[in-house]
Amino acid sequence: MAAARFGVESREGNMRLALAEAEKALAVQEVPIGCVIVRNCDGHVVARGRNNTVATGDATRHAEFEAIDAALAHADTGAIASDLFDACTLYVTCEPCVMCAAALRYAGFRHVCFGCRNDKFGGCGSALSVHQAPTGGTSFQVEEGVFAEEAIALLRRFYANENVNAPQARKRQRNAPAAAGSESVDAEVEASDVRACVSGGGSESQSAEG
Amino acid sequence: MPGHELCAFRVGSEEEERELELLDVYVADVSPAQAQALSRVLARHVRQPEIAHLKRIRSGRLDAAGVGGASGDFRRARGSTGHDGEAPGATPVGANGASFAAPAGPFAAAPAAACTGAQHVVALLCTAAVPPDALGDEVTRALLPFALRPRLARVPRNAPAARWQYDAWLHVWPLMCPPHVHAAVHRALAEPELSALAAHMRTALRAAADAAIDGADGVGVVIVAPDGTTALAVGSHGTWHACRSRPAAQRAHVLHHAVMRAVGIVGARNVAQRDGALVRGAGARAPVDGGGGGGAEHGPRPIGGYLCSGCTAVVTIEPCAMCAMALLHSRIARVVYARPDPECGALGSRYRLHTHRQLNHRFEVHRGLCAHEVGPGVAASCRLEDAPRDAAAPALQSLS
Repeated sequence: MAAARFGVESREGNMRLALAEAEKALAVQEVPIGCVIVRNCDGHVVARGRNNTVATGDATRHAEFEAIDAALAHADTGAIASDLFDACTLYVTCEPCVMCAAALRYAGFRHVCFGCRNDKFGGCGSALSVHQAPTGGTSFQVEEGVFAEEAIALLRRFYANENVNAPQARKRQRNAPAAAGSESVDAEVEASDVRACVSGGGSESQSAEG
Repeated sequence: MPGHELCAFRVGSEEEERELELLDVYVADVSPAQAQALSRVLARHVRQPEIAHLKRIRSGRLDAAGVGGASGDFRRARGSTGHDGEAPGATPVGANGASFAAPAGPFAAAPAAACTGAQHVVALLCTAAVPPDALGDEVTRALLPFALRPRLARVPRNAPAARWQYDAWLHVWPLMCPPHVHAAVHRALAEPELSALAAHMRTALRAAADAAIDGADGVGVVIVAPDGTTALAVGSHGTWHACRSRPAAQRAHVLHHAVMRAVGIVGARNVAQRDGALVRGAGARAPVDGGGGGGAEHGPRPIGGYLCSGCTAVVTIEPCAMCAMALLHSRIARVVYARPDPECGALGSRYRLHTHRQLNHRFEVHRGLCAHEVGPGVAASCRLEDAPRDAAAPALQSLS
């Protein structure tokens, strides 16, 4: 059962769907983080979500929240959240933040799979380990590193687009080839920088531009 | 409420809240004439990060028992800056330990300078982890002229992070410069702000009571604009405590905590203002080509402010990790809550997100405002119990 849940093929396929959601977010100038909720027994995609903080002016509209809301909106009215999500796995391109990790506990998830880490405020081991806290909903297991490079690449593209004239961005681009060995580390740091900058609703990145 | 004065206490970081912890060190008496030379030698030869926050020389009067053994009862003296004199119950530690006071090594080569009376000072040599005669030949040679007789003593282990710690711990051993303690941040809430916030708290309590009567968890919140008077949003819980026992149509969203709903309301306000401004100022800003394939247009910056920046969230109970992080993401300036939540609270109880080093925003937190006005139905939210309970119990008798 566990093998089916975390089977390599389905895992990568589902993360590709989450990456596709992140691409859609990038296309509308949102932080490119995407998420899908997949039913474990048959692989059915219950819901999709992507960051929506800029459009809503609400810093809490992360991909996980969008997906959970979508799932509940379409759920059988007889089901309650924990019954629904207990049997699902959530795939998200970047480590859930402290808020989202707590939310996933309330929703009743037991399995979460994410791409890159979020060093600034990841709630699944980076800043805090909310997913394993003793109280407040169900604890969940995480699997990380699935298509992490792709997730980081998306965040880098977002960063470059948003700050095309920013001197810092140019400097980073110049330095990138020189430090080929530490590329992934740099990229990860940068990715978390990006999420840190814009998680608050994206207005910050707008103001940085202006 | 008669009989209760309004008050609220600031919730600081772990470092700011911790009590005095003691560290074993070696000290030695030295004559004032030698003090400067000795402190130069120590500064040059004995550099230990564990004692970097402490001054090397303690001056001032010595009692008969010696100095530096203030291991006694050292209660925190919050807010009191007039604390002076020797530490109460100061007891010398290790002063009688034969292994330390006995002539051993170069330090006892000469008798210690006469150390009675008020003419002497005490030098901090090193941590007790390394005995002074094991510091190395060079140090030993450098210290030889001082004829030191090291003995154990106890000093503050941590550098103070708050003014009250500095003021209290100073009497155990002199500390290096005062910490960058912001008196302004440390202050308790004062009038007239206190009364204004209490009025908002009562609004939040009423919202919580209403929610509790409806069967939801009794939590309420008011988000107050930077002006301190305008309530931008009032939220109450939309999560039902006893989910399973309710008909499906009445079941509420598991994530609709009061704070999350209020943050959403502020966001909608800001967006409405932003869109209004966009219509008025259309064309003021060129669309930005996304490059990623989209090319969507940006609106101008929201005129109504950036998320909840500058705002105060007044909450009936300490927010959980989700709600606290939502406030952090929203750049809240201050959170005031009535009651702590020892199980799930993330602003002082289980976590202290507002002072977490890694997170990218800090804010002030105060607890205890109107705590005595919280009724029985106004309670914690995040336990997710499915057990039925008396949802319609009178929640807030004193305010209804």
